[in-house]
Amino acid sequence: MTLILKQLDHDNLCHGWEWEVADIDVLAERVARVALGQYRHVAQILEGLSGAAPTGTAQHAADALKKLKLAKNGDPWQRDGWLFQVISWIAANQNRQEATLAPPHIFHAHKGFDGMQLELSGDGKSITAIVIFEDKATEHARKTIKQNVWPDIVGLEAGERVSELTHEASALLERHQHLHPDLNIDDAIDRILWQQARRYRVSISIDDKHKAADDRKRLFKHYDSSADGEVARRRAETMHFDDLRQWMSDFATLVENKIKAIAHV
Amino acid sequence: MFDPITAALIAASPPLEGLDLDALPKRLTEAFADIVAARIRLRGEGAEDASEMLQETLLEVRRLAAAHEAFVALLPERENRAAAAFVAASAHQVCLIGSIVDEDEITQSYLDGASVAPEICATLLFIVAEAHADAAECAKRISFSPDAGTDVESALLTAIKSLATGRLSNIGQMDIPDIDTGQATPEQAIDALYLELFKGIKRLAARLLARIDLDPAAGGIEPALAYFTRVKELSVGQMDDVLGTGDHVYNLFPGPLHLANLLIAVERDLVESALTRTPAPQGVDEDGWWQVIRRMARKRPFLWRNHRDAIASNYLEKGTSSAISFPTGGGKSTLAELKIAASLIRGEKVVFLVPTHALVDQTTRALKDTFNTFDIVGDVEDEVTFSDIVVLPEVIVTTPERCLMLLTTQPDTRTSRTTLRIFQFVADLGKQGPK
Repeated sequence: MTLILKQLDHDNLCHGWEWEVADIDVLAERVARVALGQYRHVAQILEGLSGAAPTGTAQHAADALKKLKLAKNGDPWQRDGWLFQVISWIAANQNRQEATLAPPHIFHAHKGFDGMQLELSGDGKSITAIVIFEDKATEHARKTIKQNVWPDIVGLEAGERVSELTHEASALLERHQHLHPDLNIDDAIDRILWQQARRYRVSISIDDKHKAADDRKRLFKHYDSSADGEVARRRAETMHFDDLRQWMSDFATLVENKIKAIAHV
Repeated sequence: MFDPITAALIAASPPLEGLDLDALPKRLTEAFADIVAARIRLRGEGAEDASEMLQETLLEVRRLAAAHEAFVALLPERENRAAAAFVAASAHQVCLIGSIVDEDEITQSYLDGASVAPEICATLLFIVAEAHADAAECAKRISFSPDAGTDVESALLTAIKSLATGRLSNIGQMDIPDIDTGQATPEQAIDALYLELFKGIKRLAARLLARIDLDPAAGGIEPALAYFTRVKELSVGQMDDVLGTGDHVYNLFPGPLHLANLLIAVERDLVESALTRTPAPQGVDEDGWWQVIRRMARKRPFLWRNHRDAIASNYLEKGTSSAISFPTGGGKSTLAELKIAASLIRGEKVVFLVPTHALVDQTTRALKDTFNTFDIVGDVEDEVTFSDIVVLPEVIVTTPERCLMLLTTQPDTRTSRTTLRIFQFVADLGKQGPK
């Protein structure tokens, strides 16, 4: 087990899990493998299309290590944001029951979501909803939720960003159908894009301020007015850090070492 | 807003829960009207109500666009793809009219790793639906500024605009931008994927202008589909067992993948509608026919569904008389030019009648452009007694009154009438009955 997931529901406001690291070494290795896998994909594209010379794992590792470097101005938020997204993706996978989800984008995009997951019916044969991720690695949890996350969700509920949603959901549906050819794709499109069977999964870093259950509940205040309806639509996930930036900095080093070890460089 | 044929096409689109397909054409028309009305009201009093109404309508139409766009992208071979594509594109168009943009802000139609701008998708969806006039109109919304995106993005956007507006030879003349392959960044990979789609559109344009398909081994063009399919496959990367669970994990570039899917749907039917593929009618010299239609294809490369229906009903064959009525912009000129081409190559003479003097000039100019090796005369001079036109040119463009005078004063033209193709080309003059 990479992460320990502890269920924490807040009545009708939201439901979800709190993540704790079970084995930091395994977690770092998983993140390293995601980074390596993504850069291997990048290399495959360039080799396949522009005749770039084939590269080996050592080159993919060198490229992946760049992803973990801080921005030129020393700002860590981009790197930490991506690390947190991958951790969030690992948590979602641990808890996913057959759902299909793709790892967070490695590219800089003007558009796009932090993550997305197809939620399946009990028998796994049909799609019941799409889950939209909002992943935030921040030292100001409540402010971020209030000023960024809720307005984002309200906008999505009002029909913003439908094109991005359509394109990412289509890619996931296509993958899912590839693995499960008996999937009724028209039915899935009807449900998630026409009927908007849509759920949200907000994941955020917290410190001591929001550690206690009541404080955690307060963190997610107004989730129900941002996305109304049944509580299943509102998933809230947290990961506690004593010092977020320090933890991420140490973790990035760990991931770097893993990348080097896997690639034998 | 929709003619009966288009309304029937809309009603044939894939069903959605709770959506009345028969009422859908009306609903789309209403949504369009609602949005135009709301936009006017937004500028004046009652802006708040208008804004609320606009939001509700937009939300519904966006869901419609999303679902139908996914229908086309995920199952490009579905039978009702043209219907789904038309609904998606029309719904997008309603939303694009409704979305309030800051006019001072120059924004590039986006193409990134995750997504593609709706105006780009709508343009391609109209092409899938064979609604070429709508595609050309929608393409006007595709904007780019050379400073905002990469060279590949600019090239791809230009090519899509040109494809939609039928300027296929422009696409052929475009250079293939260079990309820096020295760096293995995700952004380079996305650029490479989009570049491949651009190359595919170049192949598609070349094929649409060619008379036949040659096998690539015999010097023919590699099908565009091969390029689009490569992008589709490479946009999805299978990763190792990163989670240690044995599950398949895929890395995705949804933006290029989606555009590749839409272009696959475009490619599927477009060649069938290429003007260059129209076979010569009976008794018409193949090479002469090709020389004319290849020239026509530079301006209007696509035959619309109504054109193809007419041709399938022997419209171009000798001795077939036809009465044709299309709305403005419905493509009468293309059909007229094709009929003229068939007649001229058979060695027949053409009298082209237009209702006004102003149209004589305009029509003559247009015909001279297409039939540059033929003798075309626009005739409007009322005073001339035809003494100088004893021998009719290959094409004469004139008014019915002049034609009547010609027929009564020039016996020679009457005797040669068996060789004439007479066109009564009447534009809609409106209802002139008592009010």
